[in-house]
Amino acid sequence: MIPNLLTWIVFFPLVGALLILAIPREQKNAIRSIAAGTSIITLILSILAWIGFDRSQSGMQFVESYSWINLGDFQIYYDLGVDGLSMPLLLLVTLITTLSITASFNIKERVKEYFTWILILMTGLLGVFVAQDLFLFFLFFELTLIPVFFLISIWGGKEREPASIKFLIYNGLGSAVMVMAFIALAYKAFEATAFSHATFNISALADIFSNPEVSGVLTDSLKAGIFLALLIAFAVKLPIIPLHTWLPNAYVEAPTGVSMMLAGVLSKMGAYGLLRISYGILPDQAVNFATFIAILGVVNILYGAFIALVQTDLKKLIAYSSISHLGIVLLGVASVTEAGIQGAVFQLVSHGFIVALLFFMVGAIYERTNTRTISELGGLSKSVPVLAGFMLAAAMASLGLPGLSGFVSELLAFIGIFGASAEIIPAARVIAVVGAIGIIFTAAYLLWAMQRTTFGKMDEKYLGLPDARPMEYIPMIGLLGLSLLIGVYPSILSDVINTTVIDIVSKIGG
Amino acid sequence: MIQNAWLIPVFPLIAFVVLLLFGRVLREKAAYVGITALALSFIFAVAVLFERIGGETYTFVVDWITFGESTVTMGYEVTPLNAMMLIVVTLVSLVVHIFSRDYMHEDDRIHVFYSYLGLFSFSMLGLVLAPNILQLFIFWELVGLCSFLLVGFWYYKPEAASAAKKAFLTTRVGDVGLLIGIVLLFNATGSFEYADAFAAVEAGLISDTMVTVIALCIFLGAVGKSAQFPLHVWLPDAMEGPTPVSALIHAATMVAAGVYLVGVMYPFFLASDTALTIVAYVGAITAIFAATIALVNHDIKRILAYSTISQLGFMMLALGTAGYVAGLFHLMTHAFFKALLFLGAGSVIYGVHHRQDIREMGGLWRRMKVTSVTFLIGALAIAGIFPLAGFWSKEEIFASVLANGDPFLFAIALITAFMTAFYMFRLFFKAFTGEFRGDHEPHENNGFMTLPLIVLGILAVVAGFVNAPFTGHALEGFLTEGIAVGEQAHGGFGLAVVSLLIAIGGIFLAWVIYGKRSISEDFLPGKFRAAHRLLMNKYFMDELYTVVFVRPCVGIGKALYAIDRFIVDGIVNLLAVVTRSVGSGLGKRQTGQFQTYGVVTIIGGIAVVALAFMLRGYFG
Amino acid sequence: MMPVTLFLALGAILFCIGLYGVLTRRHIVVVLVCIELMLNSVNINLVAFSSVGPVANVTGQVFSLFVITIAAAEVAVGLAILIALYRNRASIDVIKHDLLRSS
Repeated sequence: MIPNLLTWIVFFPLVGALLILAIPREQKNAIRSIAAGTSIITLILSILAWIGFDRSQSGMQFVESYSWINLGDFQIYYDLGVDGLSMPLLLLVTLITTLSITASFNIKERVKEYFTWILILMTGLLGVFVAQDLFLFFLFFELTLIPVFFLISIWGGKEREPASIKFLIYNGLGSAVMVMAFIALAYKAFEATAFSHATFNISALADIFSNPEVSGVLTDSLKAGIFLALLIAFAVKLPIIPLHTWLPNAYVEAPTGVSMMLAGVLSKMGAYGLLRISYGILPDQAVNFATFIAILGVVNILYGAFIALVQTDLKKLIAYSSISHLGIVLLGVASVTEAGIQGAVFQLVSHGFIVALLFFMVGAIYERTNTRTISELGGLSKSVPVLAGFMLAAAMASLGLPGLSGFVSELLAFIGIFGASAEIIPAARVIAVVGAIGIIFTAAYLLWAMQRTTFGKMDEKYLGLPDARPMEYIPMIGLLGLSLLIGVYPSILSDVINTTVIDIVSKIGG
Repeated sequence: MIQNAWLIPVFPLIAFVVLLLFGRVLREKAAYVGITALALSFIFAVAVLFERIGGETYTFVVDWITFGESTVTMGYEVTPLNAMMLIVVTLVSLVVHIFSRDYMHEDDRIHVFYSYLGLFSFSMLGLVLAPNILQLFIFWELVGLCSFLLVGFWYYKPEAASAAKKAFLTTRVGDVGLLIGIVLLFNATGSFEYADAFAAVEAGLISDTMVTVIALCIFLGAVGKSAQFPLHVWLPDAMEGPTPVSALIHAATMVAAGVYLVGVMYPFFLASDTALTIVAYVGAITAIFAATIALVNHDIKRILAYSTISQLGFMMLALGTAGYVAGLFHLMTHAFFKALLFLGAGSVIYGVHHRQDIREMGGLWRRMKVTSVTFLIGALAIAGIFPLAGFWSKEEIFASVLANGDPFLFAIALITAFMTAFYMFRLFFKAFTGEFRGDHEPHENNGFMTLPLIVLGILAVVAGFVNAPFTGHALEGFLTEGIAVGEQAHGGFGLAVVSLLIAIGGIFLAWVIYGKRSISEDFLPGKFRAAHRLLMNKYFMDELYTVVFVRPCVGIGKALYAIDRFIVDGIVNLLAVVTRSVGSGLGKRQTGQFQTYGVVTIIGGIAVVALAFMLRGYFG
Repeated sequence: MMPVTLFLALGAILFCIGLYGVLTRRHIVVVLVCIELMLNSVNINLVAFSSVGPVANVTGQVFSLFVITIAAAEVAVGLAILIALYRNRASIDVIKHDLLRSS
């Protein structure tokens, strides 16, 4: 195996970005190929990690640990590692970014900056999923903000500036809360161990917090406070209602490739942080907050679905559907059962593929028809049959059609929440049934949208639109194929996740 | 051979993939790809059935997913029930494939049509072969998808697009129930396997309430798929799809999947009397409810659709009254004669140039001989005339309802049987006898369309014999082997005569009104004006759902969207506005004179130091 | 040996004079001169501690050299800015320059 594989994976996109900076801005095709090449090599590296990943082990693998910054008592380490939780997400980042770069080849203006920012964003995202040190995690978490800000504010739609500023401030505030929680975690652990253990390392902190000898200093209200702060910080990213209002604007205004990244990967950082940091370090609080999170999940599902039902803009509809779908993640996470948490991770991956495909399809259709208003489309099956077919397939995947990945994650999440113990979540079944009703609404808004866009009479002005180009087949077939692969043979994912999930649940249970 | 049963669904899948990739090249030749695939499937299905008779149940599974300590498997299984279903599905699908070659040849998307048919056949056969309920659910949803695609095949017609959506959504309501049932079952038993579920019930591991809840959730899925009251509203609208699709999906196979589901889970249902009673009552209500609507409808396909709903209700009624074999036997015979009737209707519609209103038909008997004769056979079969298939299966149902001892249910069954005979022959007399009332002269169709009719016509005659007294109720022996479904009731000679008399009564009344015209057609509607209006409007169910479900949901959506934009986002924007205005307000106070700033800074600094002195004694 | 207090008093007085000048004079050159006064008052403190402080050592003198260097650089930069400002605004009156004011 390649030494320091994770460092290679994380920083290779940055190397590509530097290379692009060295190229004159006129050579657009060279820039595009470098961007694509960089992401493909990163993808191959991450596939190597996927293959080399030991599925029987629950702990961190490919570990790298170097002392980095010395702050007196506190040593900050450059700690990298992947486990069953982060491995699928790592691969998700490289896959979605590669496909999003392919989908961005039609960007004409300021190509150089665009791909530079995308590659920097990729480094940030990859870093978040492998960092094992809170400081490093925070650094990468912040590193994702700036590229997105510029990507939206330069290449976005009509309302791009307010959208990008809202995104930046909202997420910046979330990060501020997060960093406070991190410092509280590290400092309280330092204090609790009689100033002997100064660390930002996640698993070291987890050990300290679970150590019964130090629990005297760490009161429940303190832990609850930190958990809540972390929840708020990650809620902004996920997003959880009512901290979601940056999302519709950002998703809608962002260019297609960036929407794919935002919805496909960026939102997953929130859920990942929740599982890795909140659940990892404060497992007992995970139980206390389970009901709260489950209710938030149901609210997310229904709220997003109801609002999606009345949207007139196709892209906005997908943005709200995204809120609704991430509610399922919350339901699964809240259940603190193996099935539920595995379902949540499945949903993260699956939603990543599906929502990216949906945004890509909307982008491709917008490029041709110049509208995203549902009522102005119609009869796309006639004018662009291939695109319409993929659009329909994406909608079907999104509404949880078996055989595609969405179904597996919904199934697991619901097995989890229905099976949640009554001590953890009272009335779990009621919550679960209400959540399941959300599935009907998902079908309702997606089918209604499909009925009015792909079906129906064709507008004469759309006659003779060009159907899918060869370049467009790559993301379409890639994303749908991945969704199909997971849907038909979920073991390919579950054998990576399962051991780690068992470990997480046993820590929470024990 | 039985080990190769997995190939049965794979052939249509191959056809689907081939047509998806090369359909545009093949065009009309697509039909032959589909027909070949289904013919192979049918041959395999026959071979599997013969091997299964007298053989053993064969199961093959592989691991599908692991979570925690649980492992879920997928694979296939050949039991007597699904061996029978394989024959029904492959046979009906094959004849529909053949029939569609001509019926659809004018459509330039015929290859798409055949690819969807292939996907459907794959899904339906997969559903039948599923060894556990989760896999059944997976294919259950896939057949729903195919139904959606095929109902919406003529997507440019707004009615078709809307019907497709309605079909998918309405069944989705049931599907969510089914999914909940499956998940609850899993949580109760830790497995999706049928056998584990039955064993857990038998061992009393699941509380009685839970058994009832799970059974009802599963039944909700069946209600949606088999268009039982109150989720039946999608099936009549689904007639917007091409007629061969209606024959295959919305008459013979997919809609019967709900009945099949209850059949597969039957030992589970038997453990809960409440669940069984509800199944019986829902079936009975559906049967009579749909039959009454069929009495007054004018659209040839919709009459058949309501008839299908009604007959599915009959099957549920049988299952609900412990008539396991009766229900599934009727499923089989119904598949044949209803497919026959639908294809007959398709032939008629094709012959009269795409008209569906029976008021614009008439006198087809002389013009379309083969269609008329086979249609008559189908009508006689569904009415329950000796010795056609429907007679035997209906009589079994009567027997089980009678044995169950609920007079109310028995009365409904008899009344419905009477109505069935009446509306079928109302249709027959109006469309096939008298004078032709359309404007284009109808014509008989060629062999590709009539051959399926003849095949199904023969089956509609003989299919009932497999469970007739003179064959020793062979089907019953086959289906009940190795599964505890209780004693099956049989009617005697008396019951047979009663059911025959009722059927003849219905036919006679139809003949009096529509054949001989001794009583005017408008006499009864005129007499019961309100009732007629109610029936013509299908009991206003669609309108009711619009008012009760659709509008409130859209209303809630709009309200929430307003809240989202103006209140939730409003608060955020308000914060932004406040921050900005405070900032610019304070900004106005700034003179830009650095000397002023300096003075303020120094005074501030001195104040801080002074404070530190006073409060903390920091320097002291 | 003179007590360190006297040096500190001198430094404080010089500092206050400089500060007063910076805050009140309208002529930018005078403001710059006053800043020099303040810097030098600091130098007096540094040198005083260096020679008569409780732990007398050479560090204070080194620092005062630093300050002198920085002050020289500051004057150079300050005058350059001043000239640029004068060319653009045709005035070296502090009151007339209010670019810090928010629009």
